[in-house]
Amino acid sequence: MSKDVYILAVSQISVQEPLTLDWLDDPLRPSGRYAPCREPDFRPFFTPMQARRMGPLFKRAAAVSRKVVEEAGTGCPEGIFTGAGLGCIANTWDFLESMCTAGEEALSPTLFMQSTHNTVGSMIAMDAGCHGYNCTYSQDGISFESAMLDAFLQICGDMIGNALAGVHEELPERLAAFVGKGAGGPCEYPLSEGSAALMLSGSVPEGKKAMCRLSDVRILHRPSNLDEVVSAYGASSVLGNDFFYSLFGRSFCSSGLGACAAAGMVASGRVPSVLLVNVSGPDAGLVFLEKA
Amino acid sequence: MARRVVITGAGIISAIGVGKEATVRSILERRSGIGRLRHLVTAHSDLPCGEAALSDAGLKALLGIPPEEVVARTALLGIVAVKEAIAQAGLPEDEATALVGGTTVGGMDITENHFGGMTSGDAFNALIPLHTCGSSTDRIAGCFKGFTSVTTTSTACSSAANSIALGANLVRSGRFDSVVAGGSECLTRYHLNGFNSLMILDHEPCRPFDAGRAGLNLGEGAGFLVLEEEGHALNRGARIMGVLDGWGNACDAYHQTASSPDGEGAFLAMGKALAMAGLGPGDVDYVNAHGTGTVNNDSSESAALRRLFGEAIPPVSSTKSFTGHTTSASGGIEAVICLLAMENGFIPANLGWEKPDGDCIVPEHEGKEGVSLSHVLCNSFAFGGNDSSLLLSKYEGHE
Repeated sequence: MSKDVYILAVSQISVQEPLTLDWLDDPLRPSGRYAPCREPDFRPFFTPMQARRMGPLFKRAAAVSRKVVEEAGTGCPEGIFTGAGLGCIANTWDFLESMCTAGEEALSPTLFMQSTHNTVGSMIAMDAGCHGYNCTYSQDGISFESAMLDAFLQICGDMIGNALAGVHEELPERLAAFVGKGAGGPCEYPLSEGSAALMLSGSVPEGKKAMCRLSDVRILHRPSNLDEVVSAYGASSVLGNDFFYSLFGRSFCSSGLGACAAAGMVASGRVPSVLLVNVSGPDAGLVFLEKA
Repeated sequence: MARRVVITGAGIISAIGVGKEATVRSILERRSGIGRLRHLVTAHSDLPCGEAALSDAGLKALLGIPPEEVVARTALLGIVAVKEAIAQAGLPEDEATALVGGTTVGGMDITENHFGGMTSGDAFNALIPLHTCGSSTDRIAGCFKGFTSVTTTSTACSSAANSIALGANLVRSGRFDSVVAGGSECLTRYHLNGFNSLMILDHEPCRPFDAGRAGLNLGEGAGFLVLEEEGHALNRGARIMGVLDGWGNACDAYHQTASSPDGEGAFLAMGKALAMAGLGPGDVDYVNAHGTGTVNNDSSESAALRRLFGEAIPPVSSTKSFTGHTTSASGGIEAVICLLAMENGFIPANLGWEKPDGDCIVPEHEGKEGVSLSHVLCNSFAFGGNDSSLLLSKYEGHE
């Protein structure tokens, strides 16, 4: 397990300026109860016909995925690892609501077809024509770290040479109150949504520069010694839930967006290493980034 | 040399019984579990399904969970299978191990049963977080002491196969010496209606690979394996039930819900599993097919089998004719059935098959006993073209 893993490119769509990290020095601080994504101009990515047929979740996921694959210059990724905590919650909700209120007749198959958690990961594969490894992970707030862990182990184990990892969550306004009720009372950070994509590779292609090294990924369940585990990394900067909630609001993709920001911080020399510590219910996810 | 992943425990629950013994009995007696729904309340009660015999209350009583606690049926089924798997493996209670679950519906049964109350007031707020896939796996983990990592794969009908592959990666990489991996899924009105809206549910018991096949029957259950590094298992004197020699995952990348006519994803997944195991098609003694009984799956899977095996197709059967299509759990349930087939020397029947279809392979429809199986392939395919295949082998001692 001595093989180096690099992050070649990251991209995000969130409450911050989309498809860039230029805002890192002067980020917005989202407030209120609900903070939706700032949508980028999707015209460079899709024809008007395509855009009409695609829901916001897939447009965001496809845009950030295409962007990192292009920037990394690796071509079709050898593996696609997708985190999806709530999955395609808008379609799921609409199908469920219509079933529970209008009854079990005359339901739309389209909503159901695009409601499983793996819809996004497989659409990314279809979009790019990738027949390689493809898996979706759904473990609430550590869905991202679960995806990153599998990708990291497979690159370290020489099973694949590179990987597209990401996490994608949507929260349409009509669902914000419902999701908020489940998330417990008021909180200082708004509920949010977003898409994060990272291109990982076991080597740095010629003429390219890695943003940073991905030195470790761990997931933990009911850790009794989290502080010890964290300090053993000796990271120059330890960033927890407050870091990514304050930048991106609360959602099951916040830590993935946080990893994009942290990769940018290491790449630009702001910090030599970052350990992201994400606690989600009984589970915790750790992502350790070091300068390349 | 890569660390070898062996199997030291297996747990199963489905419409054909609770536990491995009952499962073997049903298969050898060719007794299908597909029939009328007794627990799920739906307007489509005429659709045959493979429902587990125990109600939620019955499962809680079996597990010693208080009747008033709200627990997703997916979690209840999962706990039954994980308990059986861990008991067989004899893992020490404090062994630091990982749990990799696989589900798509998660706690959907709770959400659909309390939808009105959840949306209108605050009385059911505590139930909202139980909706997710992850919470269901966390609830399973809560019944045991040793799980220090928990995660869930959710790739629709190949979830359990992918969780077994991820679990195997966790063992092979040295992250863990043992991992419990599989999948669990209960029937819900949500996906019964979803599949019904796609018009791929048969109103009769399903007939995989038959010329007159008219769709699938949904089922439910759970199947989990204890995956262990070989040396670790041998050192603690565990009985080794089988070997996970290879696993393959590929994306059909063809259509969101339909499989490609040439079965590209399935072909690649089976080929990868064989390559990792260092085996060729001629080494495979049995294929437990995905075999849902839909026109599309069975012809696409047959195309992939013909591409891989040519003229020499080994015995193939679909045990979904016993259990129904247990969706996210199917890869776990069918992996356990494959291990039982190797252990007991049988090939499960492919119930309901009568007439050959030019687009399909001819399955081993009557089943066989007294056979010796060394290597079997277990297929799980899914929406999104998330196709996976596991290569399981009989344990022939330390190499």
